[in-house]
Amino acid sequence: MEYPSGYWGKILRVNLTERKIITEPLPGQEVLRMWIGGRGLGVRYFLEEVNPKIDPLGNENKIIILTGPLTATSYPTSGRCVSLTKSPLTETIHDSNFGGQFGAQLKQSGFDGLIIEGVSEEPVYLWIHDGEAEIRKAGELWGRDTRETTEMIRKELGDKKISVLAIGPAGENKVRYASVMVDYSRAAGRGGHGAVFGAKKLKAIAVKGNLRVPIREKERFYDIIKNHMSIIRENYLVPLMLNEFGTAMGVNFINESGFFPVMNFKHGYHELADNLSGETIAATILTKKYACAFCPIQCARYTKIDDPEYAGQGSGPEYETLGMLGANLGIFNLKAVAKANYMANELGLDTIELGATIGLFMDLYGQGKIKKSDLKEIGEIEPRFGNEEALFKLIEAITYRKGIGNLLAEGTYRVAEKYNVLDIAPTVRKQAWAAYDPRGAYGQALSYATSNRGGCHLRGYVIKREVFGIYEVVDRLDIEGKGKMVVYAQNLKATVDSLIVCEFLTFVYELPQLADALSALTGWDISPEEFLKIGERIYNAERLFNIKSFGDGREWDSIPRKFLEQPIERGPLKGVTIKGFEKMLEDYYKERGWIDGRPTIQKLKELSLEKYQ
Amino acid sequence: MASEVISLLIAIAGGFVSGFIFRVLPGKIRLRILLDGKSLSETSKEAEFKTKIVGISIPASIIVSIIFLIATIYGTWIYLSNLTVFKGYIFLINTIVAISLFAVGLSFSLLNKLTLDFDITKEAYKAFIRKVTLATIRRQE
Repeated sequence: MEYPSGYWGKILRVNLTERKIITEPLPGQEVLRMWIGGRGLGVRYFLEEVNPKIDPLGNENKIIILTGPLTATSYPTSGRCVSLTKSPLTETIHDSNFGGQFGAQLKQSGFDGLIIEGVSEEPVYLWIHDGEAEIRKAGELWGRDTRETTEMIRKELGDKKISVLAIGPAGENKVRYASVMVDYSRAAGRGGHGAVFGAKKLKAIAVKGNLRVPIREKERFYDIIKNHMSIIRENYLVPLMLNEFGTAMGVNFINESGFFPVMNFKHGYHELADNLSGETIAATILTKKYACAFCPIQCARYTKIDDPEYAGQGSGPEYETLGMLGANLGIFNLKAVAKANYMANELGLDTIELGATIGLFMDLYGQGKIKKSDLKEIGEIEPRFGNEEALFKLIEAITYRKGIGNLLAEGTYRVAEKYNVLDIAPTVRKQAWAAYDPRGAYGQALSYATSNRGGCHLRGYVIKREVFGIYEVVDRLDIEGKGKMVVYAQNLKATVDSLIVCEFLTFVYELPQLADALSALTGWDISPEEFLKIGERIYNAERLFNIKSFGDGREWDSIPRKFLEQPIERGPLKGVTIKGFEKMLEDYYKERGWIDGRPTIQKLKELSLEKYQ
Repeated sequence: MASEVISLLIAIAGGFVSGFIFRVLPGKIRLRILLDGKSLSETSKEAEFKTKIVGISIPASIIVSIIFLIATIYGTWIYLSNLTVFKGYIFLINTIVAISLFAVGLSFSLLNKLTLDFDITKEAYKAFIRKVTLATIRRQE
């Protein structure tokens, strides 16, 4: 079968139960044109192969790791990769998109991706290189953190440039929000993919590749790259702000905009937030900037702290971490937040869910709802807002599921359920959202509420429109037009995650350039309308999976009552709640062609999804 | 023509040209301006801003303009050398005229020779962000 440029046409299927690896062809051109690759193709595999009702931590769940057609083609930000699984946190289909070098190396190893099935009897890791793959023993690695694991694998295989996806002890202990770390610096952070790795006894995946991705119409494609690179260079926000201060540039921006999460989303502003800003990081703990493969933006930071009390080094902290492990816990000491970030990365925890869970827990403790007898594992330290020591102890307790850590390892939603406070938990579909209070940007609130993978800023990052004013200027506290805006952002993001390129590229351009890039590479001549339709297909397909998994629908497309009724208590948005949410949701459904959060038969037919209903 | 008039014409023409030729000389004048400011309250976008010149750099080529100006002033003195009455007063007037016209000529040059470099204090930056990000919010009922 002949495949278009950008695809090898080969996927590895790894069965851990039978310790068997086979190479399969990718689906044909017609299917690829409908789903592209990455997230889209992964969703299609899930619909075809996985019963939505399975236990996410059981042997029937799969981990599908895919590149996209653009991956490793030199197109800007094309070094990314995506992991898909049924999430143990949300019970939804869940994709987690990550940077670093892994995606490019996987593609250059001669495969478009891999499907991992079954459960191994003993700890193992996968080694993929130049068209070959093998399962290797990982007994020595089990129990080790992501840094040690990565370095030991590189040493064993004798190559320091191997890229390694690895879980830490949190994944081994099936913490529901365990991350998978890429070279102990970037993360497939959300949704507990690390726990699924842990359940399968899969400690790591190592890759090395030297092959060139096939591109037929080189001149056309490289002209597009040249043209798009010049647009990137002319843009102020991405090259200047993100390069200069990393994602942490958002701290002052969102704090001054009045919807930074402070103390379990009580306040939207804090006068000490600047202590955590990208500007402060640049002036204090930054040691170098670096980039993911094929990325001209270079937003990643490497930091180091010598102070013995907080000593450590590593990647980050990123904006979301600073918000959720810092301000959301009432901690404004950058060194303490950086230390917590290093711990989370090495132990393998999602910093967003971790911060939201501990934030809720500290709130409950302050309200007298936590008994002292529940806190044996963290000693005499009181888990109050602002208590750094409590944060460090809780991270350890969660990772190893000790004492109260065993409950907190279940995530924000389940902690709220246990204490009967679901109304104040910052979650959607059992996943905590990120460091943007939904009261401060109504479109983002709607985007959170309708996110197929649970509370998430990246399903449709409308902050770039509502706050940064990119592409259009809108009133972020108005409901008008938000349904349409969110549907567009979610559909577009689904295609972006399928190509795969970085979200930050869409700060510079969206349609039609991305459709042009795909057309130039594959020769398909995809119009912007068709491109967006693919995104819509992916979004609807995910919703279908979720409907079958847990009856997804209107009751899950919601925001907890606190954010609809209780105003932000401090800052420029003091007094603000979300008003008109139901009207926004109705507009959204109308735009989607859904009824009560479910696609109609007509819609499914329009998207050629009727066979999956 | 009386030497008083000629010397005055020299002062006018020479002064202006001395300043204006800076336009074609290499280099730029660079002013560094600091934008300071702060939000006036935690809950609103009201802010106050002020600017301060914190540095100036002038290219060495301006010496050529100054030499021209000095030559102009000296030229007016030469033309006044055979006068005996009011020589000093007229020279003083010519000098003032030459320097004034130099300033006028220089200001024309500055239209394309002056560059501004803004620094912004963090407080002003934050106040600015707040203004921008709250600007599109109409109000909540």
